[in-house]
Amino acid sequence: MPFHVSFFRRALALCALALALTLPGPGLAQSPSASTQPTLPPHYAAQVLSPIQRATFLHRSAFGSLCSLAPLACALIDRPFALNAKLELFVRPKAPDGSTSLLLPFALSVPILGRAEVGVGSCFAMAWASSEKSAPASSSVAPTPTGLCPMWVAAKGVLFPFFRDPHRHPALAAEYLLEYQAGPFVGLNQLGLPGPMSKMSVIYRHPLGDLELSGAATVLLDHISRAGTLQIGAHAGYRVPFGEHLWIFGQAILQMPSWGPVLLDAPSGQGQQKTIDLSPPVGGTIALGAQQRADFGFGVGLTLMLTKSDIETRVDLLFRLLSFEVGPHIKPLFPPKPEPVPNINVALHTQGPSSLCPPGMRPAPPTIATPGEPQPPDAMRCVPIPPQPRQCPPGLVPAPPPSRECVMPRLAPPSPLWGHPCEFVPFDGSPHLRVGRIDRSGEYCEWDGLRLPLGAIIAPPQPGRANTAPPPPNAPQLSGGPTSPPLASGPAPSVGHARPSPRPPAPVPQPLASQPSLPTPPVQATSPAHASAASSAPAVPKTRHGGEHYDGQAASVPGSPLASGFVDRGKQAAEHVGQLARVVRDHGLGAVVPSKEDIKTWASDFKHQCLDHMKDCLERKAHEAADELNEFRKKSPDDKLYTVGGWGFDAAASAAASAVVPGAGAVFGGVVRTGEKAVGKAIGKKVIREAEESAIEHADHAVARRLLHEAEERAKKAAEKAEREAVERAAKEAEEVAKRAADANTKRPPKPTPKFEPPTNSPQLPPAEVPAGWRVRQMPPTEQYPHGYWKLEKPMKDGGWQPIDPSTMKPGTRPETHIPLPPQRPE
Amino acid sequence: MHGFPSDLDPAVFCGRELQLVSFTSNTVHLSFDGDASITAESTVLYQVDDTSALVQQVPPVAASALMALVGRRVCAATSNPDGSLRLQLEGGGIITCLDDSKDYESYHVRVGGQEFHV
Repeated sequence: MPFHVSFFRRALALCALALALTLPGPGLAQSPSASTQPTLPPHYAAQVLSPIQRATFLHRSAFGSLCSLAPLACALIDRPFALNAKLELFVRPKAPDGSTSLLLPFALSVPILGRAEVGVGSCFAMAWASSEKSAPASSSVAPTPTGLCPMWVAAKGVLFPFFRDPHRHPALAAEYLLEYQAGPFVGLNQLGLPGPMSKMSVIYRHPLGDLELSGAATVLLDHISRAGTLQIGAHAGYRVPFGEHLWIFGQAILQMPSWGPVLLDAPSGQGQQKTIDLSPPVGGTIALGAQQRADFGFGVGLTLMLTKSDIETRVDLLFRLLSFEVGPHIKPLFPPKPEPVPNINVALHTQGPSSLCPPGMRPAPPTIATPGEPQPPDAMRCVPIPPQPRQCPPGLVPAPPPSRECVMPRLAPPSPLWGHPCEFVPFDGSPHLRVGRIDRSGEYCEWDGLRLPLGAIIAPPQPGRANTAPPPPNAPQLSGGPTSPPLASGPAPSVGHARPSPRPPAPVPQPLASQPSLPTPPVQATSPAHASAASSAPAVPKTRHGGEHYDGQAASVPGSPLASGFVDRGKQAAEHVGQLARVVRDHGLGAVVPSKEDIKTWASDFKHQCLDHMKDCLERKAHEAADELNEFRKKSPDDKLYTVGGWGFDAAASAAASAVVPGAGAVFGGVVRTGEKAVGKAIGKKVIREAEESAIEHADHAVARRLLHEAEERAKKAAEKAEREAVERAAKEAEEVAKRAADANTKRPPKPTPKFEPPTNSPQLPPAEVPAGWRVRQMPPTEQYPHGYWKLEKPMKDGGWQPIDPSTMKPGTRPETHIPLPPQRPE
Repeated sequence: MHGFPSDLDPAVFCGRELQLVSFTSNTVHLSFDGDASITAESTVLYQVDDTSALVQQVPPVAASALMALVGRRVCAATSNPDGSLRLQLEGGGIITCLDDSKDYESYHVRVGGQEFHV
């Protein structure tokens, strides 16, 4: 803020200094002495109209496509680029001399990136007299307001802020407008004088939500006579809650001081010398109006302007007949107001009998009276209001209790692994390849548009099968950093990453969504591979499950969602497919898994979710492809095109992956085969890709949509068929694997405890006496307790037993309540 | 610690309603109708419904939404070779008791007067 103030003060000081140097003398409507009068051309005085007529159109609408239909200069500039044309009508119904005047301003302007604007314009003026008085003369000898005005050129620019959005933050702007006579545009300038005129303004704008406040100081100066005036005004505008760009506004302008020479005209026949004071009138103006600002089309406005000066009091009507903008939409500048979400948590104020019950209760429903049983006339029984199922807006579901909120079912809650790195780990023990970040669901590794299911096993190409993915020019980089040998050099030494077991690691519990659970914000992958891929892409595509919408500004191919989606995703993911292909070619089988730090957590969760109901898990994952098709149908046409553009690459990528990864799947540790879904999807989307290529060639969205619709139907059938086959095959395999795993587990010793805390009590015999009701439970020897152990337990009211620490006789932790038995002495 | 007892059929929980959830400083107690209960001294995983997160709790428990499962009946119960017991409840609820230690007892099952220590 200090910078704002100081900058604003400096600007005002500079303006005041310029004004002081320009003005012949200070004061209110002062006139210089005859000795300081400027040198005027011959017959200049004869062209000067009366003060009333000179002041006819002293106020004109401000320059700029987004300015209000009012005189005060404004700092608002459209963006990013537009051509703006406008036609207005000013009506001055009745001047004190009985004349009525019309002014038709017209202008063209070009705003540039919301920070500068240039424009040209002029106007046509008309004036006619009332029936009582004669019309103003319109001859070449005595010029009148009737006719074309001078041409004007204008420019303005935002001086401050430099980096922030000037539309949403306080802004300072400067404007310059020059009126000059050229060609047919030989009329009188804004001061009503024949000659060029300059208009300089400094404007400060302060947005406050839907309210905008601004102030401006403007100097008008006639170049020949040096007559001029200073206008200082304030503006307040409000964007009404209906309509998109409808504003109401008010302005107050003070015009003072004014200055100008007093001309001594030729003596009249009676010997009197006529004097003409060229200084504009001193006065004030109030303007009130409503306006639809130009928004890629037509804009209209109406303003009522009251002016009171030392020569007249008048009312002007300003109409914006037509304001037409050609260029990008200005909606980003003034985004439309969001639709209000109906509040369904309405508090009902009960009336009648309901109001007699205390909060949380309601009158009991009337019961059927037993015949013969007296029924008190005023008896009313209140019963607790049963809990109502929570109502949520469409698309949301109730959050788990005790929360009363509604959440998005697919987005909440995020996986605790969200944003954590994931890796491709070759089974030969060679260094792992960083392949992106785990997505919000915790089930996929998102790698710039390439979504690899966690647990997917990638195999090398089969002989005889076409490997259409040649190694990329840049060799894949391993997360081992510069010290890691290149993959092309053959199997690399291990970097401490153990060869994964065919089974998942022991399910050591780790926090899954423990309370409180804070989702880790996603961060960009920092691997060299990722960085090299990202640097070559101009725009990062949005993920499919993270709200995939076409953004015209961020698209790499503006105006073509289809091409943008294709290009954005393809550029980055193509690199990654090539990198994976190269790694599996050199090192053989590998799995896509979370990083070493997260593998245990993931494996535990994975097993917990899928091992016990393998078939359900497989079917659910397999149906994801069909769900995506369903979601696809719900998208807008542009989003469909963008998504399909991305799918187009996915199909190509999946096809390439299946070429290098025969039967590419997702069998990690023999648990589940999720990658079958990707293969099924690839089969279906391959059909879409063919249609897209055809659509891109046509570059016609209508044709593209028709082709895509046909492709979608074909793809859906193909995907369903592939899914069925995949599910059946995977389920069969999974059952066999699970059976083998179960057999192995039955022979497996108990799992090791990751953080073992030894018993706190030394080996000892159980007490001979315990409190009444308590018990000592002695257990036989185990591997950990070769002589057995015992526990002291206290009965609970709920029927359970609570372990007690015998050293304190209070509840304790497991190490405190498991007491080893000492070795038995030989008898 | 001891693994899931071979003489206990987890299906004995099927159809039983979770009637009481109680906590002590070192246990989580789940009471079902028909004189069946589970007392956990170690990790309990639960999920309120299909859309909610899998929550892990280890005594002592400071806050929990496990009570949201009270009133629901067990529709499926399975045991795993690693010693865990998984109860699937109506409405997508899941309770899993883990046997995650070889050194200490993890949970206890009491059904029809019989007691099993895992």
